[in-house]
Amino acid sequence: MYTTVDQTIRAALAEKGYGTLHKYVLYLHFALDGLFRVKRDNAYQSLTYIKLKVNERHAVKWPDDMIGYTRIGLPLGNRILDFIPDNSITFNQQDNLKPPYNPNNGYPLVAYDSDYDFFAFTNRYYSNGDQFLRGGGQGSYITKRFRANPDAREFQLDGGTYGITQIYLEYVSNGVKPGSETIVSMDASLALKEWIHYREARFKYGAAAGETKASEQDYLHELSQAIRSQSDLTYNGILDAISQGTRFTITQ
Amino acid sequence: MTLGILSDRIYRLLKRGDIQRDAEFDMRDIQYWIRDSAAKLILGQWKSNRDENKNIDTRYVSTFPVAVQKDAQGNNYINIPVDNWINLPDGSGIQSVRPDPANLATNRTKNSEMLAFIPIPNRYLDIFYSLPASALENKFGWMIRNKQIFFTKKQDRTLLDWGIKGVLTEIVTLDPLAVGENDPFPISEDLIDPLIRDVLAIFTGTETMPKDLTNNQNPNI
Repeated sequence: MYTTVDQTIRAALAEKGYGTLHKYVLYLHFALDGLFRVKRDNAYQSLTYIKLKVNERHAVKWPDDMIGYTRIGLPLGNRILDFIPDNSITFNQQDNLKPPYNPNNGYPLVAYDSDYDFFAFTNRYYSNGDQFLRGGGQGSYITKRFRANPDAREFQLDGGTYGITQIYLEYVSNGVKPGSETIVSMDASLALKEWIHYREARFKYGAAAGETKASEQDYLHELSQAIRSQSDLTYNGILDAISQGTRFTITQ
Repeated sequence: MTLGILSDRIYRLLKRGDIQRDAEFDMRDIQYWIRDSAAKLILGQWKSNRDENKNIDTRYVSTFPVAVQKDAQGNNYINIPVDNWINLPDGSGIQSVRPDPANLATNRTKNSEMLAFIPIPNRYLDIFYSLPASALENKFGWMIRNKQIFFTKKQDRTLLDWGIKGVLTEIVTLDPLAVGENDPFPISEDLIDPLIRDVLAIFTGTETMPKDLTNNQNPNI
């Protein structure tokens, strides 16, 4: 079950008895802040998959909503060829718009990696129609490497990716996408709503007020419920797990 | 009960039953005071009851259709149709601004497209401009600048770009444009008595006993 942050805010406004939207912006701020928390606290997991364009500096800009990434790769048909993190890549490619070349043979300067031996010694094409990966044969190095640049919020690709126009990115989103409605799971929405009430009470009545304490408890309760709902174990599964741990003793 | 009847009642009390059309003050004087006093009483009644009921009684809310205009910079705005409104918290004297179904370039059928726009309280954008909340979850926002209401863009397109040529504004006001002399005066029955007493006090409050400066026993000195 999914709802939106917008509907969560409207529900919170209705619970407080407001008939106008004048607290909307403040509640939205609380809600997006809370959304980040429920994601960070693993009460709401979601991975986002996206294809991104490689720019002329051979870098890929991070999406604005990225908290962390899990993999980067080259989409080829129904396969993703993962890139390898490599912290020896330099970030100074702004001045040098193309990846550096070996002056001796004109090949892009790339690192070699044994995981890609297969591609290095085959002539086979892997193509998805608009771009292709070709085994260079004869030990031609086609290892794909990248380095994350948090300051510039981009991935810097190395020379081995020359000719690649787009990459595949799998990342953890904070859930906020300006220009669109933010979708949120029902469990997380309940926690968000309590978070809004808690934050409002916190700044209105102060941390020591009973109202603040009560709404904080409500939030923590909903958060733990949301985390619990993320568990893969069913009720029967939990019972099984317990009984398996104790059965041996019982049957003795 | 219209404003005209209310002012007649007060006038009759002031003149002990007589209504003279050539009086020293105009009936409109009374009507101005009725509006002012009623606004004060309405706000006071709402404040005393706000824990139970955050929303102002709908009879005090007037709806005005207004045409959307475009300034030299391309920003969309409307002129606020009345001069004044009641000061409710967070600027909610202007209760809502929403698309006018009678004034759309394209036919919109979704309820979500006809919802009220998001009010941005004064100077909130100064604080929120760089935060994700400023994107308003893909909704139009509005803010008051002087006598105008300006609208934010949605997906880089203005209200007019979206085909919304007119909006409905709901304002808590007793402005003559909202409540004419012969319109029903929007005030609850329980407030009529304090309202009449209020206005009477204004017109009779200046009638004090002449001061007798030679008499030491006169309490009015």
